[in-house]
Amino acid sequence: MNLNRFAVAVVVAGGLLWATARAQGPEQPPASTAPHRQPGEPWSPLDQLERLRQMNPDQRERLLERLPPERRANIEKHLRNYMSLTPEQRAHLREQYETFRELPPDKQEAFRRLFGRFLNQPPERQELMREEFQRLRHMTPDQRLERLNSSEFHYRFQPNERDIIWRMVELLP
Amino acid sequence: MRCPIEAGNEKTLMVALTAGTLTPAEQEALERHIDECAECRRLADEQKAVWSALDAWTVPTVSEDFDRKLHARIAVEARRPWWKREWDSLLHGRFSWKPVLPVAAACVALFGVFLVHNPVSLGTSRTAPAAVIQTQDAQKVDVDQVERALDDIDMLNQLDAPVTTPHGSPAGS
Repeated sequence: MNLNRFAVAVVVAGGLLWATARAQGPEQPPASTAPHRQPGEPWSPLDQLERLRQMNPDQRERLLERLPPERRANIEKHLRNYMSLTPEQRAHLREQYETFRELPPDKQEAFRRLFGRFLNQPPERQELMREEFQRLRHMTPDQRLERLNSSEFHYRFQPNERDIIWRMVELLP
Repeated sequence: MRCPIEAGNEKTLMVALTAGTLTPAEQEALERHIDECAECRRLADEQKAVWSALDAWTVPTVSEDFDRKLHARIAVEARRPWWKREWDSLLHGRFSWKPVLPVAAACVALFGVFLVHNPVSLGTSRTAPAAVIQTQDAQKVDVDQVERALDDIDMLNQLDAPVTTPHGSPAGS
Protein backbone atom coordinates (compact mmCIF):
# COMPACT_ATOMS: atom_id res chain seq x y z
CA MET A 1 0.00 0.00 0.00
CA ASN A 2 1.32 3.43 -0.94
CA LEU A 3 2.50 5.08 2.29
CA ASN A 4 1.65 8.58 1.10
CA ARG A 5 -1.85 7.50 0.32
CA PHE A 6 -2.26 5.81 3.67
CA ALA A 7 -0.99 8.88 5.50
CA VAL A 8 -3.47 11.11 3.69
CA ALA A 9 -6.23 8.63 4.43
CA VAL A 10 -5.37 8.64 8.13
CA VAL A 11 -5.35 12.45 8.22
CA VAL A 12 -8.69 12.64 6.40
CA ALA A 13 -10.27 10.03 8.66
CA GLY A 14 -8.91 11.73 11.77
CA GLY A 15 -10.31 15.04 10.61
CA LEU A 16 -13.71 13.50 10.03
CA LEU A 17 -13.74 11.92 13.47
CA TRP A 18 -12.64 15.14 15.11
CA ALA A 19 -15.35 17.10 13.28
CA THR A 20 -17.94 14.51 14.23
CA ALA A 21 -16.93 14.62 17.87
CA ARG A 22 -17.05 18.42 17.84
CA ALA A 23 -20.47 18.45 16.19
CA GLN A 24 -21.92 16.08 18.73
CA GLY A 25 -21.08 18.36 21.63
CA PRO A 26 -21.28 17.52 25.33
CA GLU A 27 -24.41 16.02 26.74
CA GLN A 28 -23.84 17.28 30.24
CA PRO A 29 -25.03 20.75 31.21
CA PRO A 30 -22.30 23.39 31.46
CA ALA A 31 -19.88 22.78 34.28
CA SER A 32 -20.80 26.04 35.96
CA THR A 33 -24.40 24.92 36.51
CA ALA A 34 -24.33 21.12 36.43
CA PRO A 35 -24.24 19.34 39.77
CA HIS A 36 -21.40 16.81 40.02
CA ARG A 37 -22.58 13.32 39.19
CA GLN A 38 -20.68 10.10 38.70
CA PRO A 39 -21.39 8.08 35.55
CA GLY A 40 -24.18 5.62 36.19
CA GLU A 41 -25.33 7.40 39.32
CA PRO A 42 -29.09 8.11 39.39
CA TRP A 43 -30.11 11.62 38.49
CA SER A 44 -30.64 13.67 41.63
CA PRO A 45 -33.61 16.06 41.82
CA LEU A 46 -31.19 18.91 41.17
CA ASP A 47 -29.78 17.16 38.10
CA GLN A 48 -33.30 16.71 36.83
CA LEU A 49 -34.25 20.27 37.62
CA GLU A 50 -31.19 21.50 35.77
CA ARG A 51 -32.13 19.33 32.83
CA LEU A 52 -35.66 20.70 32.87
CA ARG A 53 -34.31 24.24 33.01
CA GLN A 54 -32.15 23.64 29.96
CA MET A 55 -34.93 22.10 27.87
CA ASN A 56 -36.37 24.14 25.05
CA PRO A 57 -40.07 25.06 25.29
CA ASP A 58 -41.16 22.19 23.06
CA GLN A 59 -39.32 19.59 25.11
CA ARG A 60 -40.74 21.04 28.33
CA GLU A 61 -44.22 21.10 26.86
CA ARG A 62 -43.98 17.42 25.99
CA LEU A 63 -42.87 16.61 29.51
CA LEU A 64 -45.58 18.59 31.29
CA GLU A 65 -48.50 18.21 28.92
CA ARG A 66 -50.02 15.22 30.71
CA LEU A 67 -50.05 16.80 34.16
CA PRO A 68 -53.23 18.15 35.73
CA PRO A 69 -53.49 21.90 35.08
CA GLU A 70 -52.90 22.93 38.72
CA ARG A 71 -49.76 20.86 39.09
CA ARG A 72 -48.49 22.04 35.77
CA ALA A 73 -49.15 25.68 36.67
CA ASN A 74 -47.36 25.18 39.98
CA ILE A 75 -44.30 23.68 38.32
CA GLU A 76 -44.20 26.35 35.64
CA LYS A 77 -44.54 29.15 38.18
CA HIS A 78 -41.76 27.80 40.39
CA LEU A 79 -39.58 27.08 37.38
CA ARG A 80 -40.07 30.64 36.12
CA ASN A 81 -39.03 31.95 39.53
CA TYR A 82 -36.01 29.67 39.56
CA MET A 83 -34.98 30.64 36.05
CA SER A 84 -35.31 34.33 36.84
CA LEU A 85 -32.58 34.04 39.47
CA THR A 86 -29.00 34.93 38.69
CA PRO A 87 -26.55 32.03 38.36
CA GLU A 88 -25.05 33.00 41.72
CA GLN A 89 -28.46 32.97 43.40
CA ARG A 90 -29.24 29.60 41.86
CA ALA A 91 -25.92 28.22 43.05
CA HIS A 92 -26.62 29.51 46.56
CA LEU A 93 -30.09 27.98 46.56
CA ARG A 94 -28.75 24.68 45.32
CA GLU A 95 -26.38 24.62 48.26
CA GLN A 96 -29.27 25.33 50.61
CA TYR A 97 -31.30 22.63 48.99
CA GLU A 98 -28.48 20.11 49.27
CA THR A 99 -28.27 20.86 53.00
CA PHE A 100 -32.02 20.43 53.28
CA ARG A 101 -31.88 17.16 51.36
CA GLU A 102 -29.36 15.81 53.85
CA LEU A 103 -32.03 15.88 56.54
CA PRO A 104 -33.85 12.61 57.19
CA PRO A 105 -37.16 12.45 55.31
CA ASP A 106 -39.26 12.87 58.49
CA LYS A 107 -37.37 16.05 59.38
CA GLN A 108 -37.74 17.36 55.86
CA GLU A 109 -41.46 16.79 56.17
CA ALA A 110 -41.54 18.47 59.59
CA PHE A 111 -39.76 21.50 58.10
CA ARG A 112 -42.29 21.69 55.28
CA ARG A 113 -45.13 21.63 57.82
CA LEU A 114 -43.47 24.44 59.77
CA PHE A 115 -43.14 26.41 56.57
CA GLY A 116 -46.87 25.87 55.99
CA ARG A 117 -47.52 27.37 59.44
CA PHE A 118 -45.14 30.21 58.57
CA LEU A 119 -47.14 30.97 55.42
CA ASN A 120 -50.31 31.19 57.51
CA GLN A 121 -48.93 34.22 59.34
CA PRO A 122 -49.72 37.73 58.13
CA PRO A 123 -47.19 39.04 55.58
CA GLU A 124 -45.70 41.64 57.93
CA ARG A 125 -45.15 38.99 60.60
CA GLN A 126 -43.62 36.68 57.98
CA GLU A 127 -41.07 39.39 57.22
CA LEU A 128 -40.07 39.66 60.87
CA MET A 129 -39.92 35.91 61.32
CA ARG A 130 -37.82 35.52 58.14
CA GLU A 131 -35.41 38.15 59.36
CA GLU A 132 -35.09 36.41 62.73
CA PHE A 133 -34.62 33.01 61.09
CA GLN A 134 -31.83 34.33 58.87
CA ARG A 135 -30.13 36.08 61.80
CA LEU A 136 -30.24 32.94 63.95
CA ARG A 137 -28.80 30.81 61.17
CA HIS A 138 -25.71 32.98 61.03
CA MET A 139 -25.07 32.58 64.77
CA THR A 140 -23.02 30.01 66.62
CA PRO A 141 -25.04 27.50 68.66
CA ASP A 142 -24.29 29.41 71.90
CA GLN A 143 -25.23 32.73 70.41
CA ARG A 144 -28.39 31.20 69.04
CA LEU A 145 -29.42 29.81 72.42
CA GLU A 146 -28.77 33.12 74.08
CA ARG A 147 -30.89 34.89 71.46
CA LEU A 148 -33.78 32.45 71.76
CA ASN A 149 -33.80 32.97 75.53
CA SER A 150 -33.53 36.73 75.29
CA SER A 151 -36.26 39.12 76.36
CA GLU A 152 -36.09 40.84 72.99
CA PHE A 153 -36.94 37.62 71.19
CA HIS A 154 -39.88 37.06 73.53
CA TYR A 155 -40.94 40.66 73.18
CA ARG A 156 -40.91 40.60 69.36
CA PHE A 157 -42.63 37.27 68.76
CA GLN A 158 -45.81 35.58 69.92
CA PRO A 159 -45.56 32.01 71.29
CA ASN A 160 -46.73 30.50 67.98
CA GLU A 161 -44.19 32.51 66.03
CA ARG A 162 -41.41 31.66 68.48
CA ASP A 163 -42.28 28.00 68.17
CA ILE A 164 -42.08 28.10 64.38
CA ILE A 165 -38.76 29.97 64.36
CA TRP A 166 -37.25 27.83 67.10
CA ARG A 167 -38.16 24.55 65.42
CA MET A 168 -37.10 25.69 61.98
CA VAL A 169 -33.67 26.73 63.24
CA GLU A 170 -33.36 23.46 65.13
CA LEU A 171 -34.05 21.48 61.96
CA LEU A 172 -32.02 23.61 59.57
CA PRO A 173 -29.38 25.48 61.54
CA MET B 1 -2.51 -47.39 -26.91
CA ARG B 2 -5.30 -46.39 -24.60
CA CYS B 3 -7.55 -43.64 -26.02
CA PRO B 4 -6.27 -40.28 -24.64
CA ILE B 5 -9.87 -39.03 -24.27
CA GLU B 6 -10.63 -41.93 -21.95
CA ALA B 7 -7.31 -41.38 -20.15
CA GLY B 8 -8.12 -37.62 -19.74
CA ASN B 9 -4.82 -36.36 -21.22
CA GLU B 10 -5.98 -35.70 -24.79
CA LYS B 11 -5.28 -31.91 -24.67
CA THR B 12 -1.73 -32.37 -23.48
CA LEU B 13 -1.01 -35.05 -26.05
CA MET B 14 -2.58 -33.15 -28.99
CA VAL B 15 -0.58 -30.01 -28.18
CA ALA B 16 2.59 -32.11 -27.80
CA LEU B 17 1.88 -33.87 -31.09
CA THR B 18 1.39 -30.61 -32.97
CA ALA B 19 4.44 -29.04 -31.31
CA GLY B 20 6.51 -32.11 -32.09
CA THR B 21 7.66 -32.64 -28.54
CA LEU B 22 6.66 -36.30 -28.26
CA THR B 23 9.25 -39.01 -28.49
CA PRO B 24 9.23 -40.92 -31.84
CA ALA B 25 7.65 -43.94 -30.16
CA GLU B 26 4.93 -41.85 -28.50
CA GLN B 27 4.25 -39.98 -31.73
CA GLU B 28 3.97 -43.20 -33.71
CA ALA B 29 1.62 -44.77 -31.19
CA LEU B 30 -0.57 -41.66 -31.07
CA GLU B 31 -0.74 -41.35 -34.86
CA ARG B 32 -1.78 -44.98 -35.09
CA HIS B 33 -4.53 -44.38 -32.56
CA ILE B 34 -5.70 -41.24 -34.38
CA ASP B 35 -6.11 -43.25 -37.59
CA GLU B 36 -8.49 -45.53 -35.75
CA CYS B 37 -10.31 -43.05 -33.44
CA ALA B 38 -12.52 -40.44 -35.09
CA GLU B 39 -12.89 -38.32 -31.97
CA CYS B 40 -9.15 -38.07 -31.42
CA ARG B 41 -8.68 -37.34 -35.10
CA ARG B 42 -11.08 -34.41 -34.84
CA LEU B 43 -9.19 -33.06 -31.83
CA ALA B 44 -5.87 -33.40 -33.64
CA ASP B 45 -7.25 -31.58 -36.73
CA GLU B 46 -8.59 -28.71 -34.58
CA GLN B 47 -5.26 -28.36 -32.83
CA LYS B 48 -3.41 -28.33 -36.18
CA ALA B 49 -5.84 -25.66 -37.49
CA VAL B 50 -5.08 -23.42 -34.50
CA TRP B 51 -1.38 -23.77 -34.99
CA SER B 52 -1.72 -23.11 -38.73
CA ALA B 53 -3.67 -19.92 -37.98
CA LEU B 54 -1.02 -18.81 -35.51
CA ASP B 55 1.70 -19.52 -38.03
CA ALA B 56 -0.15 -17.42 -40.63
CA TRP B 57 -0.49 -14.38 -38.29
CA THR B 58 2.03 -11.67 -38.98
CA VAL B 59 3.12 -9.43 -36.14
CA PRO B 60 2.69 -5.69 -36.90
CA THR B 61 5.97 -3.91 -37.16
CA VAL B 62 6.93 -1.71 -34.23
CA SER B 63 8.57 1.64 -34.81
CA GLU B 64 12.19 1.78 -33.85
CA ASP B 65 11.72 4.34 -31.08
CA PHE B 66 8.64 2.61 -29.61
CA ASP B 67 10.46 1.43 -26.50
CA ARG B 68 12.06 4.84 -25.92
CA LYS B 69 8.69 6.62 -26.20
CA LEU B 70 7.00 4.11 -23.94
CA HIS B 71 9.60 4.44 -21.20
CA ALA B 72 9.52 8.24 -21.45
CA ARG B 73 5.73 8.22 -21.00
CA ILE B 74 5.94 5.88 -18.03
CA ALA B 75 8.52 8.18 -16.44
CA VAL B 76 6.30 11.27 -16.94
CA GLU B 77 3.32 9.45 -15.45
CA ALA B 78 5.34 8.28 -12.44
CA ARG B 79 6.43 11.86 -11.67
CA ARG B 80 2.81 13.16 -11.41
CA PRO B 81 1.27 13.28 -7.90
CA TRP B 82 -0.83 10.26 -7.14
CA TRP B 83 -3.95 12.35 -6.48
CA LYS B 84 -3.69 13.87 -9.97
CA ARG B 85 -3.51 10.44 -11.48
CA GLU B 86 -6.57 9.36 -9.46
CA TRP B 87 -8.43 12.52 -10.39
CA ASP B 88 -7.74 11.93 -14.11
CA SER B 89 -8.86 8.36 -13.71
CA LEU B 90 -12.08 9.62 -12.16
CA LEU B 91 -12.60 12.16 -14.93
CA HIS B 92 -11.99 9.62 -17.66
CA GLY B 93 -14.23 6.97 -16.18
CA ARG B 94 -11.38 4.83 -14.95
CA PHE B 95 -12.39 5.13 -11.32
CA SER B 96 -11.05 2.41 -9.09
CA TRP B 97 -12.37 1.47 -5.68
CA LYS B 98 -8.88 0.52 -4.59
CA PRO B 99 -8.10 3.89 -2.92
CA VAL B 100 -11.27 3.54 -0.87
CA LEU B 101 -9.83 0.53 0.89
CA PRO B 102 -6.97 2.31 2.71
CA VAL B 103 -9.36 5.14 3.68
CA ALA B 104 -11.89 2.68 5.04
CA ALA B 105 -9.17 0.76 6.88
CA ALA B 106 -7.84 3.99 8.39
CA CYS B 107 -11.37 5.06 9.40
CA VAL B 108 -12.01 1.76 11.10
CA ALA B 109 -8.67 1.89 12.93
CA LEU B 110 -9.19 5.48 14.09
CA PHE B 111 -12.79 4.84 15.07
CA GLY B 112 -11.62 1.91 17.16
CA VAL B 113 -9.09 4.13 18.94
CA PHE B 114 -11.77 6.80 19.34
CA LEU B 115 -14.15 4.31 20.95
CA VAL B 116 -11.48 3.04 23.31
CA HIS B 117 -10.75 6.55 24.53
CA ASN B 118 -14.38 7.69 24.52
CA PRO B 119 -16.51 4.73 25.56
CA VAL B 120 -20.09 5.20 24.51
CA SER B 121 -22.95 3.64 26.38
CA LEU B 122 -26.11 3.28 24.35
CA GLY B 123 -28.23 4.25 27.32
CA THR B 124 -26.32 7.41 28.17
CA SER B 125 -24.82 8.35 24.90
CA ARG B 126 -22.69 11.50 24.94
CA THR B 127 -23.37 11.93 21.31
CA ALA B 128 -27.03 11.29 20.87
CA PRO B 129 -28.81 13.35 18.25
CA ALA B 130 -31.34 15.93 19.36
CA ALA B 131 -34.34 13.66 19.00
CA VAL B 132 -32.75 11.02 21.21
CA ILE B 133 -31.76 13.58 23.80
CA GLN B 134 -35.33 14.71 23.97
CA THR B 135 -36.47 11.19 24.67
CA GLN B 136 -33.75 10.66 27.23
CA ASP B 137 -34.56 13.96 28.89
CA ALA B 138 -38.16 12.95 29.23
CA GLN B 139 -37.10 9.62 30.69
CA LYS B 140 -34.54 11.05 33.07
CA VAL B 141 -36.72 13.86 34.38
CA ASP B 142 -39.04 12.51 37.03
CA VAL B 143 -41.75 15.13 37.17
CA ASP B 144 -42.73 14.25 40.75
CA GLN B 145 -39.16 14.67 41.97
CA VAL B 146 -38.70 17.90 40.07
CA GLU B 147 -41.97 19.27 41.41
CA ARG B 148 -40.94 18.45 44.97
CA ALA B 149 -37.50 19.96 44.40
CA LEU B 150 -39.04 23.12 42.98
CA ASP B 151 -41.41 23.39 45.93
CA ASP B 152 -38.55 22.96 48.39
CA ILE B 153 -36.32 25.40 46.55
CA ASP B 154 -39.12 27.93 46.47
CA MET B 155 -39.61 27.42 50.22
CA LEU B 156 -35.91 27.93 50.90
CA ASN B 157 -35.83 30.91 48.59
CA GLN B 158 -38.70 32.55 50.45
CA LEU B 159 -36.98 31.99 53.78
CA ASP B 160 -33.71 33.28 52.36
CA ALA B 161 -35.19 36.35 50.66
CA PRO B 162 -33.92 39.78 51.67
CA VAL B 163 -35.94 41.37 54.48
CA THR B 164 -37.61 44.69 53.66
CA THR B 165 -39.65 45.67 56.75
CA PRO B 166 -38.29 47.81 59.58
CA HIS B 167 -36.92 46.00 62.61
CA GLY B 168 -38.29 45.80 66.10
CA SER B 169 -42.05 45.46 65.73
CA PRO B 170 -43.17 43.80 68.90
CA ALA B 171 -45.33 40.70 68.95
CA GLY B 172 -49.02 41.48 68.59
CA SER B 173 -48.39 45.01 67.27
